[in-house]
Amino acid sequence: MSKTDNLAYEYALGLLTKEEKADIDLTPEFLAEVESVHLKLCALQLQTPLEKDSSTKIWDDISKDIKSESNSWQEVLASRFRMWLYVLPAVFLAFGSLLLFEQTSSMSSPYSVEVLNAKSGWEVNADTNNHQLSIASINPMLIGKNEVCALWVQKDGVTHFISTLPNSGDKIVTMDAKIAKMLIGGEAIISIESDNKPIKVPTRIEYRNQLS
Amino acid sequence: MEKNLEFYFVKLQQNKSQKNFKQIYKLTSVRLFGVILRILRRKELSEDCLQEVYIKIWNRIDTYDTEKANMMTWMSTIARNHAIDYVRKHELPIQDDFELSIIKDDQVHFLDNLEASDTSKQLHDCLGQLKAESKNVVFMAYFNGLTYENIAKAVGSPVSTVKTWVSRSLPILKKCLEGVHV
Repeated sequence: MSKTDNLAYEYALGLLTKEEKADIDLTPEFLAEVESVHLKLCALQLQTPLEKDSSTKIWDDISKDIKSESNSWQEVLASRFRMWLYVLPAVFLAFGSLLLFEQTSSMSSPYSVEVLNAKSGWEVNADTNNHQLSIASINPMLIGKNEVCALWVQKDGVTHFISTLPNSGDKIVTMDAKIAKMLIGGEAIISIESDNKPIKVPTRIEYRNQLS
Repeated sequence: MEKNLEFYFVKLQQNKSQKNFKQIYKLTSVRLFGVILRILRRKELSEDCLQEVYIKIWNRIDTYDTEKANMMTWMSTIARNHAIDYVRKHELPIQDDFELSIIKDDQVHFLDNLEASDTSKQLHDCLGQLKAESKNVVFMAYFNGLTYENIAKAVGSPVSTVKTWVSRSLPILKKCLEGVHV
């Protein structure tokens, strides 16, 4: 690294005092170099630590502030809905209709199934002829900064790590023919793992399904 | 990330719920915090400003036009402009070496491309080669606007020691930043 290079980095990083900078010959070449370093340095902005506690607190404060915004028609609707949640059971009780009561309580079951399906927005298919596993993301993944999605196949009680997945969620994994054969009839698992630690077993399983 | 962000942005425009907005916050807050911290140079103020930025984004969500800019560029521009206003409004001292005019649109686009090309982790790994004290000095200078002298005082070491740390770290830093292909 040349002396000028060093100086441009020191200048752009802001390490020099006013007096030190006054001694530098600010030629157009040097200023262009500083500007170029400035642009490169902005990559550091992606490495800024935003502590988890601070991040949570900031969100809590945002959440309080934007609550009033949604007080409009959405809040009105929600409050009416909540009111009916209280009123309806009372009405049912008043009429002593146990049957109606059972119907309303049974409504929660299909709803929760739907939520589960929506969460597992993946399709993993095995192409046995070409020894390939194709992974397609239907709903985008929600992973943190230091997290990564991992694909596993579980067969006969043994879990095999296959690959990590790119942010797009879509990938085709080509395997050795023997391994591919061994995995036929297995269960595909997609988990979210920390990319700071070795990936050994699925920790946060987001999806599992029989390979088709 | 871009795909996730797009998904939740569309959802948010269809249904302006806190739940959808929280997902956007999770996906983008670190990046926007970096943009703001570089301008304000103080962590507490940057956190305060970050909060205001998200409230602004929430209020303006209906005005976002997909044709004009991608979401991250749009959000980063709001963050950058709000941070500059914040400096002026709170009459914060601006380092003599740091002019607000230097924060140009090409930096925002550069960051967009960097994220899209997924080289952020590569950069993170590369910077891992720096010794802790050298990395701290680089970050203290870049984000907190501290000179050699300020850093020496902050860490309780002679200026010459801090200069040695920097001179050892600059070739690695340069290599890491030049290894970032966008």
